[in-house]
Amino acid sequence: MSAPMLEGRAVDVALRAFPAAFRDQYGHEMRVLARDTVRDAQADGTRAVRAARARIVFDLLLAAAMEHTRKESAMHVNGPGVGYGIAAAIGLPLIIASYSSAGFWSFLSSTGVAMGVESSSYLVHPSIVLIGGILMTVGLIGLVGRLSLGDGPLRWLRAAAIVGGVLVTLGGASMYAYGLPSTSPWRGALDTAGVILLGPGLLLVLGLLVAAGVIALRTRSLGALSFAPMAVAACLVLVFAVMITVMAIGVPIEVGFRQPAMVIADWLLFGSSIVLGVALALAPQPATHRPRRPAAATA
Amino acid sequence: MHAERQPKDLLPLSEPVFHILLSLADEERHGYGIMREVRTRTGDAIVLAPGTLYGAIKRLRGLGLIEETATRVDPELDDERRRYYRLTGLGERVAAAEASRVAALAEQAAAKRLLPGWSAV
Repeated sequence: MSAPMLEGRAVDVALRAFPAAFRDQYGHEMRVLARDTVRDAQADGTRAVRAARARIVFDLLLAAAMEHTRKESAMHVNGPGVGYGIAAAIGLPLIIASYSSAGFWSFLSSTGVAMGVESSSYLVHPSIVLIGGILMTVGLIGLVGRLSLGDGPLRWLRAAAIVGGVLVTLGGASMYAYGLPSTSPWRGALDTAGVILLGPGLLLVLGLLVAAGVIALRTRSLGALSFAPMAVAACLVLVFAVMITVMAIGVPIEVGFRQPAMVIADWLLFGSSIVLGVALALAPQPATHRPRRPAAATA
Repeated sequence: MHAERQPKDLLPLSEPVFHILLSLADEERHGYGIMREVRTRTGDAIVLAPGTLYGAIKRLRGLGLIEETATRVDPELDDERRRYYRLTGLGERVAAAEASRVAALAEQAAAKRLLPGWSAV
C-alpha cells in the first residue's frame, strides 16, 4: 500500500471515531485539510511527512473524543423527553409483566385488596395491556424522534413504532372478549385474533428496538446512554427465551413464571426500560427533526 | 426571546479559537486557508490540525461568531470546491474584546517588568 493510500486509510479510520453528524458535516473538509497538510510537509522531507501524519491522526482521535464528550454534556432534562421517558420506562415492562410475572399479579392483587378493587376481573388484564400499549407506543415514537436520522428512515421507523404499538395494544385489548358468554363464537375468534396480533406486534417492537439500538450506538443519539435501546431489546429477547423454554419443557405457566430466570428477566427488562426512559428524558430532539421556522430578518 | 449574547460572556477564548477569529478578521477563508494563515502569522509555532480546526469551527458557528459564506474553488489551489467562512458582527466584537483583554494583561506584565522592550501602543 502506498504512503498516500495509507495516510488516507488512517485518516478515514480516525474520522470514523467522530459522531456521525459531525463527520457528515466536516468529514470531507477534514480529509482535504489532512491531505493538504501532508502535501505541505513533503517539502520538508520524509520525517516531516511522517510527523505530520502522526500529528493529524492523533489530533483527529483527540478531537473525536472531545466531540463525544461535548455532545453528551449537552444532554439535559427536557419537558417532552421526560414525557416520552416515563412512557418508555413503564409501557413495555407493564405489558410483559402482565404476561410473564407472577409477582406482578401478586402485587396487583394485594394493591387491589388495599384499595377495595377487584383485581381478578376479566377487565383488568386487557386494560393493563391497553394502557401499557399506548405508553409503549408513545415511548417508541419518542425514541425514534431522538435518533439522528434522515426524513425517509425516520418516517419508516415512526410507522413501525405505531404499527407495532397498535398490534400489541389491539392484541391485548382483544381479551375484553372474555366478558362475552363462553358460547359466543366471537369470544374464540377475538381470542385467536389477539394472539395473532400480539406475536407479530411484539416482534415488530423488538425489531424496532434493535434498529434504534444500532442507530443510537452508531450516532450516539442518546449520548452516554446510547446503549439503552439495545439493552431493552436484549432483555426482551431474554424474556422471550425464558418464556419459550418454560413452555417447551412443559412446566405449568403459573409455576414457570415464578422461576428465578423469569423473575430476573422481568426485572432486567424493567431496569433497562428505566435507563431508556432516563436517556429519552435527557436527550433533546435532533435539530434536523424540529419544525423549521422562517428565517429571521437581519439588520 | 433570548437576551443578546455579550462578547465578555464568551471570554477568555482558547488559543486556537482566537487565532481562527484573527485569521478571518481581514478576509473570508476556507479551512486550509485558515490553517496556512495562522501558521505563517505565528512563524510555524501554531499549526492547526484538522480535528482541532473543525472542532473549533463547529463551536464558533454554533455560537454565531463565524458563518459559512459559500462553497467555491480556490484559484490558488487545486480544483477542489472548498467551504469558506467569515466573521459575523458578534465574532468581530468577541475577537476585539479578547484582544483588549490580552493587551491589558500584557500591559500589566510590562508594568511588572516582565516584558522587556514592550510598550502599549
